[in-house]
Amino acid sequence: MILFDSIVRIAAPVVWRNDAEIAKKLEEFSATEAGSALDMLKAAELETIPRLRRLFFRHAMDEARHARMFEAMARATRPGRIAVSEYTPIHARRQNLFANLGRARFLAFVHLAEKDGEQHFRSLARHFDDRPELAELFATLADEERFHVRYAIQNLLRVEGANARKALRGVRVASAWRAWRRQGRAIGDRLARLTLAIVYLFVLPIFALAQKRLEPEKSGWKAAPTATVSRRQF
Amino acid sequence: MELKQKLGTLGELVELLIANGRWWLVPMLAILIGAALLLMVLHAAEYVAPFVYSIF
Amino acid sequence: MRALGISAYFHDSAAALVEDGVIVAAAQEERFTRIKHDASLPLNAVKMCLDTAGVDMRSIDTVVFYEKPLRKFERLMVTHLREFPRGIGQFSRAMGTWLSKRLWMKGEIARELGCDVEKIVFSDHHLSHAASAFLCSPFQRAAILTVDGVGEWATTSIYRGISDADGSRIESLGELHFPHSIGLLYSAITAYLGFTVNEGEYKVMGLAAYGKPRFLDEFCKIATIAEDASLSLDPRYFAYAWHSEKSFTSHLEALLGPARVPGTAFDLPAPEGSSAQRWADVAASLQAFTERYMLVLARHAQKLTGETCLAMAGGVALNSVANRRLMDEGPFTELFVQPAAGDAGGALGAALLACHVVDKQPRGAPMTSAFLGEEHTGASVRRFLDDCRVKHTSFADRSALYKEVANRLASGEIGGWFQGRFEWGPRALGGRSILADPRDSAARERVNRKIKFREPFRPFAPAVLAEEHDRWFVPVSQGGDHTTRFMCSVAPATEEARLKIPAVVHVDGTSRVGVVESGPLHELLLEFRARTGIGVLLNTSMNLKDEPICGSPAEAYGTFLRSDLDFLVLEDCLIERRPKWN
Repeated sequence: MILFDSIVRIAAPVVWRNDAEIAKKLEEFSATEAGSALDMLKAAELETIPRLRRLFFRHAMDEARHARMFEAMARATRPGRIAVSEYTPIHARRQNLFANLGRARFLAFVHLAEKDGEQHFRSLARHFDDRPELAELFATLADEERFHVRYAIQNLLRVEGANARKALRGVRVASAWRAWRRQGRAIGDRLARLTLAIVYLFVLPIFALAQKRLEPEKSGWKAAPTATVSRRQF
Repeated sequence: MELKQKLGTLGELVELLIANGRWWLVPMLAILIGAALLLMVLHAAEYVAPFVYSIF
Repeated sequence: MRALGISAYFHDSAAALVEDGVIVAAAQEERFTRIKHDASLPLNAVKMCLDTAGVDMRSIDTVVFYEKPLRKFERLMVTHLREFPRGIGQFSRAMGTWLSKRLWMKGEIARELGCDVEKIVFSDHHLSHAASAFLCSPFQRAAILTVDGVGEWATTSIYRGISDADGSRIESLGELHFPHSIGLLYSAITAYLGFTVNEGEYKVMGLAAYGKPRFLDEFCKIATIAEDASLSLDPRYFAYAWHSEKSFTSHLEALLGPARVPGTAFDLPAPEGSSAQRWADVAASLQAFTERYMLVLARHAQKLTGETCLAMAGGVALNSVANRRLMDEGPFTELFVQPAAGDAGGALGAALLACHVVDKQPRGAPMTSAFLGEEHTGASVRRFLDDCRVKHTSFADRSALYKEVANRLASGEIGGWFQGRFEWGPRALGGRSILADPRDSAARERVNRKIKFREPFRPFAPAVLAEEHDRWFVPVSQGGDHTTRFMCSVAPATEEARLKIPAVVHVDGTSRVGVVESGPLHELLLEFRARTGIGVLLNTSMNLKDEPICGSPAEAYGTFLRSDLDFLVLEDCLIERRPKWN
């Protein structure tokens, strides 16, 4: 936690360097909270245990409120900023977490994600000690996230018992693996584009010449191919 | 099974090109498949992963 | 026979299940994943279709993919060679996708769906569109036009469809090939006007009403309509063949003026000589050119086929303004447009092809309802709201619900309306709608600004009782209209409409009419009429800007939370006012 706090405190003066950047980051936080709200609402819909439905729903309402609070603060910080305008809803992206993870892993995910969120907000509350309105916002939200951290782990233990640790571990490993794959994809992307760019520059010219010689382009009506519905992919 | 399906797909592609009088594209296809195989080898090394784009 | 049709990998993936000629279920994947225009394999939509039929994949006789992927790949190769040396960026991106994934889609479909690869067959893109139009229509024989951006190679196709005792046949009579495409022309100008392609075309149609077609001559320079109704685009003006992001070149800007930077705000009506007015004029010119071309195309199709009825599909068939002109001035006496006329509709067409054309099953009743999606029962909704302790009023008596909602709407409230199965296609028809009083222009302003968060020039559409249609809107001058049920055409508003229901009449005096013949919305309209004398409501889809239309109660509630709706009706439960979040 100390390490996490240190990283946030070191990066904060750069990330939150002026009002424009502060407004932009607050909007991003707003979108994230709104996305979480939609995920929690969907979880409440899919869940069958009434107690958990109620908790997920309450969590969704909290996240929606947080989204509005961030949005309002973004507007107040940079009033003229076009992105936070009357014509722009809070764009929220749902990740379908409950459907993808199942109940146990979802609770584990919520616990870990909210714990990270709480720590992040507390660090930012300390960073903004010279901006009382921002410090108060982050401190308030951190306190509210605390409830989410607690209910998630309590219910995970209730639902999974001894397997709760396994669920938490599974989420941590999956998260790390996803980050690894993201990096791998980024590298693979670049390698693939380079390879195909080389093919384009060194292989295509001769075929392009052949194409221009053998197939002058003609507009106008053409007969359709005769194959209709079949196992053939052409 | 999967390899058989992929070879089948390639066979259909060659058949299509020839049927449409584009036999001269078959070598280009072969080179592209070679490039794809190279990328698959790199992917199998686990530090590159499949990439997905959307076109248009 | 059970046929599962699939469209995927390009944009708007969807699944449709047809059982012995009856459409059991159909839906776009975006409704489930909440990713607009989701192109991934529609696993959620497939699950919904199977669950609705009460079967699993083992009971499916055939899985029909809506197009021929290898022909598409062939086009990609040939186009890149044609455009060489431009297009290195697009080549490496597109080839990467195809070589790693798309060429091998047959195996992926079998694996992901859990079906035998031998069950998977492939249709032709435009043929799938044609089938979705003809086989859903009330016609036993018809000319069929499919007009879109591009399928494998075809951009525009003419068919003749015949259904008789020997089964159904769809015969191709010719096609135009990429890059000559009225659909891509429309998309390129959509991009020029700063809107997102495959999304902003409706906005361009709305914008056109504010302009004059003073650039029509310029459009005739960039696109030529030949005597045989073929279209030829001048490649100097367009970049979609070789650029992955840009669809037009600087030549187009030299001709029409600088393009609009996406996100640039503008007000309409705009002062003469302003950029905003120029953009509106470009939109008007594009629309006029498109209508001119569609009329020429229709006349050519009629001459080729000798038919009196026309069925249409493909993205351009969603141009409701052009469709009205076709009905009023075209050579056909009747027109049918399938509600999901875009790429999603190909899934339905593919399944119908397997049943009626391949398997020769007799045609059933024509499509009269677009409510083919997922349903959430009143009991499940009540349980959800009770478990979550959401304050709501439950109406055991449906007529009491309709009276309550009608009262609220008549007093100026704006509400969400969630009933039954959700709609197939991009239009809300009373399954997932936002409703308001059409008498009040201020309501329209509020729906745009605080609920839909849309550009102010976007019009709203009316839902009207079938028996009141001619009172408010001018009917077609000839033959039968099969388009208003699915909101696929516009109609000029009568004088009474302009005076009494201004919120649903666009600046050019037209409305995209949705006729309501039955169901909960019909009952609500009757109650509204009992209070106000007007059997019309402002009807827009239940979603925020840039999001898919809501599918489930959770999504409806999410929309309710993030907008200024006064109330939300989920089946027979009414939730009033936004929950206090501050």
